[in-house]
Amino acid sequence: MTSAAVAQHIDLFRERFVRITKEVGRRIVGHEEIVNSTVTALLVGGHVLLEGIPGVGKTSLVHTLADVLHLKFSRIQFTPDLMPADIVGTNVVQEHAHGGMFFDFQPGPIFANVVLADEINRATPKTQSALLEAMQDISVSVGKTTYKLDQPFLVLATQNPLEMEGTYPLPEAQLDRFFFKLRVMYPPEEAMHQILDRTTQPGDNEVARVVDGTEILEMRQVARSVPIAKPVQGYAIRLTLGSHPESPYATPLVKRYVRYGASPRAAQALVLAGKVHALQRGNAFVAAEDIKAVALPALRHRVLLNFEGEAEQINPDTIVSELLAGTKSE
Amino acid sequence: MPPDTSERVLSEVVALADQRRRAQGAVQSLVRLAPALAGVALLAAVLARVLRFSTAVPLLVLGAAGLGLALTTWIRSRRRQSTDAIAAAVDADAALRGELRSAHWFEAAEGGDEWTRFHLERAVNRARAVDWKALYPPVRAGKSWAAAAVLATAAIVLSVGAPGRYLARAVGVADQPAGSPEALSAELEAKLKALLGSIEAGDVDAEAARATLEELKELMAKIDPAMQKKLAEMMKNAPLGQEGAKAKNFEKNALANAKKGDNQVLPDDVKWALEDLAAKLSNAEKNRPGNPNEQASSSDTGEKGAPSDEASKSAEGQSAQASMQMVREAATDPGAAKMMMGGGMMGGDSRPGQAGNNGAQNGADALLFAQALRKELIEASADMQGQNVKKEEDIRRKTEQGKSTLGFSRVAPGAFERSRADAPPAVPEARRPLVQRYFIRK
Repeated sequence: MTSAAVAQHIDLFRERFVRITKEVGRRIVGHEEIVNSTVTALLVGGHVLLEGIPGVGKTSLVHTLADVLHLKFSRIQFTPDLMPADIVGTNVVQEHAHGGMFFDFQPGPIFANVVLADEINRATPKTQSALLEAMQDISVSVGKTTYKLDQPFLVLATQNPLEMEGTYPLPEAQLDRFFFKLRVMYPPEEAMHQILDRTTQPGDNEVARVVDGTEILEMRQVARSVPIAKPVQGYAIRLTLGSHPESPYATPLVKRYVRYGASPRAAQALVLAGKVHALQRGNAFVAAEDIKAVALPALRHRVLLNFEGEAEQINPDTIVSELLAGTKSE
Repeated sequence: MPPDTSERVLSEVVALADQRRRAQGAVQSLVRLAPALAGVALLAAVLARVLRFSTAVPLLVLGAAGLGLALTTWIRSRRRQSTDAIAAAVDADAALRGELRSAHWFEAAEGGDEWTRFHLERAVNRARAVDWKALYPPVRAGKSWAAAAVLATAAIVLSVGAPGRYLARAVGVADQPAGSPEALSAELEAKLKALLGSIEAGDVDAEAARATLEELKELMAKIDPAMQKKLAEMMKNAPLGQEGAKAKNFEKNALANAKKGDNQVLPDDVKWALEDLAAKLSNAEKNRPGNPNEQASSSDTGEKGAPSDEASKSAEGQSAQASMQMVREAATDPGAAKMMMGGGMMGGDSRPGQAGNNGAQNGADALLFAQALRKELIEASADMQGQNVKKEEDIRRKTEQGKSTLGFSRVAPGAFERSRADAPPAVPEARRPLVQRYFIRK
């Protein structure tokens, strides 16, 4: 590979990225950041937890993304009575044509490229944990058999922060497996006008399939090729370590309100997302600026508040923001 | 290995940019500090004039400030090894958004693939495109430089220039006395010294000395009133140029000095000898030949008459020789001195040799003593401990090696009356325990 080839890869990556976001933007209005972050997670093989009140377009976003990416899409509506087998699939007794019985595996909805786990916090922890292996190892085990999932594999889970009654908050282990946690907010007024214009008037809201799974995998390779200097990587590590109250890099808010800080997965997320962010800007290197840009969605769900923090309803975003402000990049 | 295309280029760029950046900062600091320090130097110069301390102080202040600033600027402007922090700072200044910093690290690191090479190439191109001179422009602060220069110049002029006297007048301070040693010309100073030296040595003819002193007095009147007064006193004393007058003068001085203790700088044994001599001279005055009562009384004792002139001269010489020894002995033992110098009523001749007991001759002997001791007194007075000699032994050695016809033997203070001996110096409190321990030691 020559320098020209590298430049070509970068340009192609940028062009595809822009194509995806632009095509998603044809249907999803006012959530450019959410779309960018979701695509970023997809391009590094991460999963996204979308948190927002009902009706802000979470499910539409996932639908649209699957359409644009030309990927197999499935949706799982999490309810309290949902069972793990409903997700991963089950062995069904079948009868041979020539007689005799056998077990046949019927794959669950997890066998797709883009899986929407809607209102994930409404299922029991037992069911939620059915996603753990799929999210981490991109495989599911049923009985004594392990089934690999197709790549690219992306889980987009949603949860409602308001209706907490009858819900099961995600365990820390599962939260940590989400690459990003994105907060979907109300769209601004101008965006609302566009939403109404598009959904209440006759017109074509169909989106084109701009990239396929192979191209997504190519983009993943390109993203991982971006070099990162040790000092910049050190900055990502200091940010991660700084989220621990006992760390020398910890800020006052961390020391006061945080029980556990981010895991090494957070540092991985910072660096990988930073690489995609750098490519988005057309750079062949990762700068501290790229790390900063992705720190909030990568760290906010990995900072676990202590009792005092919960009691005072401290927003983890505040803690991460202070951490970003208090950690030197050099 | 770092790629060839940009080997160490970025390090150079970063180092140069850092040097410019630091130099700019250093000059900015210099611009702020230089006028202030020059002002301090000027203030010191004014104070030096007003308070009359050394004018070298403001110059030293100015020099130290200039040296310090120059040194600081030089240190801060030096080129240093580029580090990641430096690269990050330069990168931020040039708004390269982390590219220079990242490439700087990759350049120094070993290994690298096509992506790294591409990154370095782009970073080098971008770094070269930056106008570093425009980014770190030279500091222009003409007003500050001008102010610093004016203040520094004023401080120097005040310190080394003539206007200081006028400034002192302007601020209401009394003018420096014109008669100070600095105000005298070298020629006049040499002339004065020579004259004073010759007057004190008694080598100047009284008329000549008076004429010269009159002339100098007029000169000095224009320069220093204090010096004029001193010269007037010298003129008053100068007419005593005759031998007898000299002796008389010396006698008076010796007595006065003995009373006042002016010869404190002399060694103790010399001092005591002089005091003893002064007492004897005072006694001899009363026994002069011109005093008929005393002569009669001497005749009454049946002593021999006055010798002939030649015999007298010879006797004087012998007497002088013998007197030296007597002074030594007198200094050693006051009781013995009484016996030797007594003569007269006691009927004994204090002089050794054929002259025998001659009371009338004692006065002449005293004069001879005075003549003989005069040079010694001057020489001994000139030996100042701590100035031209360092130890007491040196004083004695110099005295004995001089032209003096007198010799002094070492006299232990204990040999004198205890009432005349000085008390030993008090033991310093700090050393008292040591001294006690030394003497109480088992």
